[in-house]
Amino acid sequence: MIDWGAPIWIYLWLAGMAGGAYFAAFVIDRFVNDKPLLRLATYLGVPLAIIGVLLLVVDLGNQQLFWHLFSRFKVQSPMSMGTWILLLWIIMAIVMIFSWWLENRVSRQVAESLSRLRGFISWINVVLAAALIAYTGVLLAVSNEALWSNTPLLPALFAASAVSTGVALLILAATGFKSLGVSSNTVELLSKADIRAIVVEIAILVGYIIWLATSSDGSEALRILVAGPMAAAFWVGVVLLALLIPSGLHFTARGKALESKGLWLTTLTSSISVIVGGLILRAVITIGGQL
Amino acid sequence: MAKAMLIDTKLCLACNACTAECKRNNNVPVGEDIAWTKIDDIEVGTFPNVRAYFIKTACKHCTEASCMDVCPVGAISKPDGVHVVVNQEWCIGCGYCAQACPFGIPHFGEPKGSMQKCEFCYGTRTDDESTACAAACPFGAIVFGERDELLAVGHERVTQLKQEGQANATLYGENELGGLNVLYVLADSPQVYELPGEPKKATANQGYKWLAGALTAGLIAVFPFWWIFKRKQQLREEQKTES
Repeated sequence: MIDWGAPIWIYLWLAGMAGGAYFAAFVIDRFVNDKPLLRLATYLGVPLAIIGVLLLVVDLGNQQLFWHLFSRFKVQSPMSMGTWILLLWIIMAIVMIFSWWLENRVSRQVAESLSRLRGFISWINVVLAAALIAYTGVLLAVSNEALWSNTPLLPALFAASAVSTGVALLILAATGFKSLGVSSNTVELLSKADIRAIVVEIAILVGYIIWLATSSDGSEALRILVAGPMAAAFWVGVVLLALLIPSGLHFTARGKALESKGLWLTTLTSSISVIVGGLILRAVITIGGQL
Repeated sequence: MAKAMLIDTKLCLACNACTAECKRNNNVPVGEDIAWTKIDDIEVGTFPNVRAYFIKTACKHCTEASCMDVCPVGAISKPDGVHVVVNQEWCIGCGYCAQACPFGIPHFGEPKGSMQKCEFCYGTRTDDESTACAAACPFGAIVFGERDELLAVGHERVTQLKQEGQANATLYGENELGGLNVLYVLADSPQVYELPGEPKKATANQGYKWLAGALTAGLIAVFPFWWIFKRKQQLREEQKTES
């Protein structure tokens, strides 16, 4: 019985990308000071997160009662925690966007105060972003579907996927919209970071598969994923698109001049591949766990 | 003390009187899609060595109720401290309980609405009365009564079955998940009846799962960038010493 269908795995992908993009942008900004990148992450993240929330409401059996989710803060329930994490992240990100908009329209003193406030909020938001990308996996892991709950590695896998897809999205947006002002050095940094995130993701996926294979009720669930109904989508969508193609493209791109057209095309293809692969990962795990 | 249920699968002949009575008593729509209780028909072996097992499948009213733990709106509760009940006016139909239940019990109907499941006829009977299914069973396979008494009866039955040659006969539900309030006399191991041998609470090890996610987020976002940054610093220093 598939209770959680397309609205859910699309939402998990969107929320992961929003959180992953913000998290990566925040960390890069800490290291090399790239405010345009942080701005880009919030501009992308807020609409993605809002669309995700709408999908969740649409999926409910009693949509008009969605506000019941805000009637309590229940630590035991990852869905309750996720509701609040998502709400707070979206609100804080909107405040950040508003402060950037307001900066050019007020005095220098006020602008400085706004900047300080925004800095403070951005720290709260990175903690929320980390919680958000962990939560997408915890939501499934705290259940009784063997594919999801037999190992604590699903939250790790989804967190890795969230960062790799989030970074890929930033790369796409930054190279597609040069007017946003993200430097090509930063884009190069993002590409390098993405491939390292993918390497970590591969390691976690291998660990996840081994853990399932060696647990008693996990092996049947694993079979559904790698040899059963989800196999084609898993091997093509996840292993090839999300992991191997981007890795391969990265290694062939080494040595190419930074501004060459070939590198640009490679980066574009790689990023799209990661993003689509990330969606398929969420789909096969969500559907596969319910079969 | 709120009552429990004992189901003797060896007395069940799959007549489905319990299924029909449950639907009538609880106004569950006609048709097979939603049945608060149903009889699962499990065939084991290959012809000519085939056996059929029947098991009445419904909410087990677990002491450690995963559905109640994960419900984000608090629609699931134990008003008498034992029986697990859903507030259908408060339920938002998110489906989390269905993913959390170790037995896959919660149903949502078509179109998807609130969660529905057996509530031991909560609200439709007095404390002294039996549930609709127990009252309907012509073979005495379903008994609703004091848990301690049912445990004693159940153990006696299992001993009897073992003496009759059912070596794997067992009483399921005594200690699982803190104790289930639906006890089963099984003629074979739980796995044969498609019951989990060691059912787990959905929220078990939740802390580790959050930690795994958060640590990975930290590891992935910080380690690649820290490494790249250090490399760049290294390269810059090498360039400086060269020049």
